[in-house]
Amino acid sequence: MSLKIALQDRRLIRNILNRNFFINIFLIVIFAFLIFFSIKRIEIDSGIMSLFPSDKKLKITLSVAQNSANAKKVIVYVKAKDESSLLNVIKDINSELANSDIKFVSAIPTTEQFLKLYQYIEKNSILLYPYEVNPFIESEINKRLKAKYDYISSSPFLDTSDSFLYDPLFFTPEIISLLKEISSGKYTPREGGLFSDDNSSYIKILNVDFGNEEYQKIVKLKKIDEKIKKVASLKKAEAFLFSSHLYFLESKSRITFELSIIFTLTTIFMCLIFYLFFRKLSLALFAAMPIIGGYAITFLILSFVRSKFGGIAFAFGATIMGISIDYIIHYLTKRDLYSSLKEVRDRISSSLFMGFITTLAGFIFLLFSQTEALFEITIFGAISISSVFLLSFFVLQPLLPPTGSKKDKQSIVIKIPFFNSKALFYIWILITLLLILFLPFIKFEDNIMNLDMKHKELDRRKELVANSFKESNDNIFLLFTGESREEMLTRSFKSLMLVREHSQGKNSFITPAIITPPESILKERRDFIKKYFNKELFLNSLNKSEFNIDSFNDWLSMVKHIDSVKLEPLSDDIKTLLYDPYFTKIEDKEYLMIHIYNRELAKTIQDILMSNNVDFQIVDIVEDTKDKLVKFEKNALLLVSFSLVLIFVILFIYFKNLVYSFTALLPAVTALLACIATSYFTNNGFNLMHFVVAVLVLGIGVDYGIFVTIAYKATFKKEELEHTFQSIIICALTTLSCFGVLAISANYSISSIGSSMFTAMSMALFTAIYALPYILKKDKKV
Amino acid sequence: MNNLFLKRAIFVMAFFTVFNFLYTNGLPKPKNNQLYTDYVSYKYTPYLKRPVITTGFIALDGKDKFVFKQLMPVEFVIKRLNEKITFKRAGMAEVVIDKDNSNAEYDFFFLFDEGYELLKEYNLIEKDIANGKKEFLITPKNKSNYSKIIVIAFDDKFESLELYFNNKTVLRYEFKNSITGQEIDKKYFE
Repeated sequence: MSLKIALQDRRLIRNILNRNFFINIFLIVIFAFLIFFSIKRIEIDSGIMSLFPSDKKLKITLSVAQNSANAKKVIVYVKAKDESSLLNVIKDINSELANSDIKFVSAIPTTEQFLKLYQYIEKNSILLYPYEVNPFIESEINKRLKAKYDYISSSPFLDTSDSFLYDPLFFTPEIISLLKEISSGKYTPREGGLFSDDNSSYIKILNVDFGNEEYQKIVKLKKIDEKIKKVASLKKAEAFLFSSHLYFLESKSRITFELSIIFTLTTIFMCLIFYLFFRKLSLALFAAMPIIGGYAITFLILSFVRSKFGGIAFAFGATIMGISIDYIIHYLTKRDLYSSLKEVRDRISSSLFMGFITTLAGFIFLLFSQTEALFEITIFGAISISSVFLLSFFVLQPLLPPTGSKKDKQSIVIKIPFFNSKALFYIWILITLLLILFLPFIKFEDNIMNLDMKHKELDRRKELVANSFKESNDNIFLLFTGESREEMLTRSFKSLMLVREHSQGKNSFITPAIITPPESILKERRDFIKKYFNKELFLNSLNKSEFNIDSFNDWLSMVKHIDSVKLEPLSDDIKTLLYDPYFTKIEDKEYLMIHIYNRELAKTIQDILMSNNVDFQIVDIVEDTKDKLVKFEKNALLLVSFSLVLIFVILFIYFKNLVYSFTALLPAVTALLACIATSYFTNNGFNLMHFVVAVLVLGIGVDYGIFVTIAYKATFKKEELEHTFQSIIICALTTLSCFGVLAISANYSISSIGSSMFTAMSMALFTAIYALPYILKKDKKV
Repeated sequence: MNNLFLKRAIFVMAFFTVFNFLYTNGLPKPKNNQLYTDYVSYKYTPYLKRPVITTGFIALDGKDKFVFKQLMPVEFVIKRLNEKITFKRAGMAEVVIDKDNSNAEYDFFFLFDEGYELLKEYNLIEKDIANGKKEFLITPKNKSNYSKIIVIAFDDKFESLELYFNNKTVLRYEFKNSITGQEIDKKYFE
């Protein structure tokens, strides 16, 4: 070919490439639009229910956690050096709360409501008294009448209402005292809240009208928190807000901040990698096109096939790029070794195709997991990887064919040091054996909360509130079922009595049955009254007391006709506060739901009620998901193991050679071992995120193994071999740049991915570069 | 006035804020706003055979210093020192009263300064003179938990105060050994 024609050809090729660059950009824009369009059509389910096999008890647990008043509870905590300072600070804080944008509603009775409750109890005292002791014996009647008189004489300004005369035996203070004890003071507020025993700290329990993921409103809550902290510190006191909303905000803010750093670092690293190895940043845009296209096709298909998709699967999908980019980089690295696209494809298509098939095979077994999240991960993974592969093969490669130009020929940037070293091979064997030794010691994460970041300050606040006030926002509930509310109330009341009896009154829980006893309990009390109350005895004692003989005639009439006496109704506002919140409906079945403030108490209650054959349920999102989580993780690991077997079978069918099948799989196996070992040393064991990494490194590791194995099988020339290793290094570097930086995250689920990915990829690379060539060269006796 | 809190506030303020009312309405007031007086109270209720009798003292030194101390049968003291109002019962810690959110029992102290205004707003006041003594009849304009308050005063001192409640309770205060216009011993406010 003459020089003139060669130059014309080169100019033509350059023009074609420039045109193709704009086509590439155009495709990226189209794909980006499709992603935007599709995302709007898909509802993302951010719940964690899809992680677990369908289970009735777990459904109840998660529904209770989502529907409980706990999710909207906000606690205001104040501590000062003495009561006087405390009251001062409380006043200022009340002012801040009243002036805020957020509507706070007290979750405990106001003074006004407490007075109403007090009068309700007085009026109904004969039926509300629990009759744990007999108050109708002479000594008791005398004692109680005197106590009532002493109360009047020590309270000169007391304005008695009508209900006062319905409680001659002064039952009301005891009922109030019982309520105060079992509610830790929540039914008997002072200054609109609760004081600690030493009067140095105070809490106010409020409800808001937004949940844990309404972040715009939670930001306002955070601002109020800052304000009251400042107000208190000016008066040398401490005050803060405590709620589950703040946990969610802190996690989200931290993740957003870290992801922005991670994204920036990743972009910088990717640009550096592409510049270092390819000397052309425009290639990064070509490489991006199939990936963006893969996501676009996946989202488009999902938007028509499924209207709702799990957030967990979506998050996993974001990591698919780590696998898919291998096909692109392998092509970009190799394309200029050959003069035409056909020649490139002849040399590397089989390794690309085998890599693709074996990666897909890694997902297949997840379809049989009976877990919604894994099913969704499989669907997402299969569609996206297939799309990326097909786009890179049928679109990218024609858009970016080999130029045949020496100028465009990619040079080898990295020469592998100590290549084929025996010593390094033995080191590899040693490391692999050490990793295998860890296998029996594998532990599994059993607390889903450990996947979040540590919230040091919020946990400190939680402890302060729990220690002084027996209050928390942990989702632990005692549940009673029944055909009717009557039945549920009866069960809860009898359970309360059992718990108090077996713990000598030390342990208890609030049930609305204290102030609204069911008919069965009322009947028992009526029977007790009929059996033990003696009118003559009472009148005799009354005559000797300071009270007039006819003072309590209405009450006596009530006792006489006790069988027909019904409870006076609660006022609506008291009912809304102290009765309605205890009932919840889950899937058309009603439950009586009682919050238990800590796990030790829940365990004590559980032991007592179980030993007495009571029908109840303790719902604890952490405890209930524990076994399920471990089971999921074990099953997931088992499925990954099955996938290894399937991939081996596919490789054997292709290679028809045990050694080649083994070497192709080896990087994936060692990467998996490294991932498991990393989980042992970091966090609390193998968790969901380690599983995500396991699936990823299976796909990536087998690609490396296939690229190297085929290179040796097809007896690539030295230059081809060097480019193969360089492509593997670039793949590893891009993967590490995407995931490795995650290791620095404060969020444990993100750092789990980062740390395990780093070690797994390092091991896969080490295996591919230093183990496989040694094994394959020995095999071929080259 | 259906509000329970307001009813109680009116009831109790009726007694103590009447001091302010009387003194700020051109009626007898202690010289220099200084007063010390012993009292005996009698609470007559339909359900008790005998009245509940309490004894104690009241001291006033300017607008911002006021103390009501019951000595028998159970000791307690309610004090106002500037803005701070406190209550202390024998054997219990002192409690600061928040007028916006506290038990009705303390209501009458909250509006000490505002009591006169509230009293005038919600009540009719009639004055009479008999035997050289001034007699005031205070009746609520609207439905309330009390029916009337009768106050008898001589010169710048109270002699008696009676509150009549709708539940047939009558609370009567008799004031003795009253001293006005002289410096009040600080010990009464401690």
